[in-house]
Amino acid sequence: MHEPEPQFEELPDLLVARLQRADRSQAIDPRTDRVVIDDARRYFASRPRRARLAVMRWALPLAAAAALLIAVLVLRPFGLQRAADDVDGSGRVDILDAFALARSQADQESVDALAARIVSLGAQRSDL
Amino acid sequence: MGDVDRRSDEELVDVCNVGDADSAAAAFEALYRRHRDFVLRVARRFTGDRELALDALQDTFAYLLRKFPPAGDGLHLKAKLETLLYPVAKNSAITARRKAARLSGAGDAELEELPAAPEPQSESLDAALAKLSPERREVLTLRFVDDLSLAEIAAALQVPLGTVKSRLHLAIKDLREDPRTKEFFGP
Repeated sequence: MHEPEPQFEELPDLLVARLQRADRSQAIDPRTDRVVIDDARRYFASRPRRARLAVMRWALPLAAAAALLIAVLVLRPFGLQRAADDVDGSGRVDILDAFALARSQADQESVDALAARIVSLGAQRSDL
Repeated sequence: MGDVDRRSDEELVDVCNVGDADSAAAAFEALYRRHRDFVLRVARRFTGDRELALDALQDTFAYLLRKFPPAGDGLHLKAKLETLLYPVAKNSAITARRKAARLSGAGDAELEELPAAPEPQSESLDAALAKLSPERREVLTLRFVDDLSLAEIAAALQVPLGTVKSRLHLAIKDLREDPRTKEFFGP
């Protein structure tokens, strides 16, 4: 921004120093600083607090995700429902469940239906 | 404040234009801390009184603040911020001085003697500087105390560049010819 000034426009250093001394700045008291800065804070206060909103925008989904994760981890052992066909509670549905159902004196129709589903599941697994 | 302090005036002004409440206030505070001494110096030149100069300082920054939204349309720096602050500080100082003079019952003739000359010291050098015409001393001060270029002085004073060159040349000529200061210029 400064352009080279012609030499004749220069002042001797001592004169410059004297000019600066005559025009020296004085300390600004903290009260004046506070008035100006507080005025600025009040003035800009009407604007949205975007920084805080941005944090909130991330915080809410993060909190929801964390809560969900905790719920899954904590409640999983209790929340797992045994499959209806896992009669013996082994964690698998196999022919032993059909035997267990038969032993429980369920009606034959239910036992046959379970056996059919087990055969069907077995066929799907073998296809894979 | 550390991060804000490293930003240029242009960047801080941009934040004041469009930033959120907290960042705009922080950017304005940085601008204030960076330029308050300059504004106080200018205000003191035209008031000759510290308390009036402090009032003018507050008025200057209140004016600058209201350039930004929501009250203002925003500021687009095309030159150094000092060139914008200078006329505002000068006018605020003159207004403060006039108001104080009216309250104390001073006449209008006294009010026109602007800018106020530096406090006359016993030393002859200071007396020579005080003897310069207000316009020449103003240019001389902006050039050698505030370190503005001739173009920046022209922008600050809202006068043609040629006028600035002429005033500066004549100010230096006055000092060269003044018996109290000519010895500083050498043979």
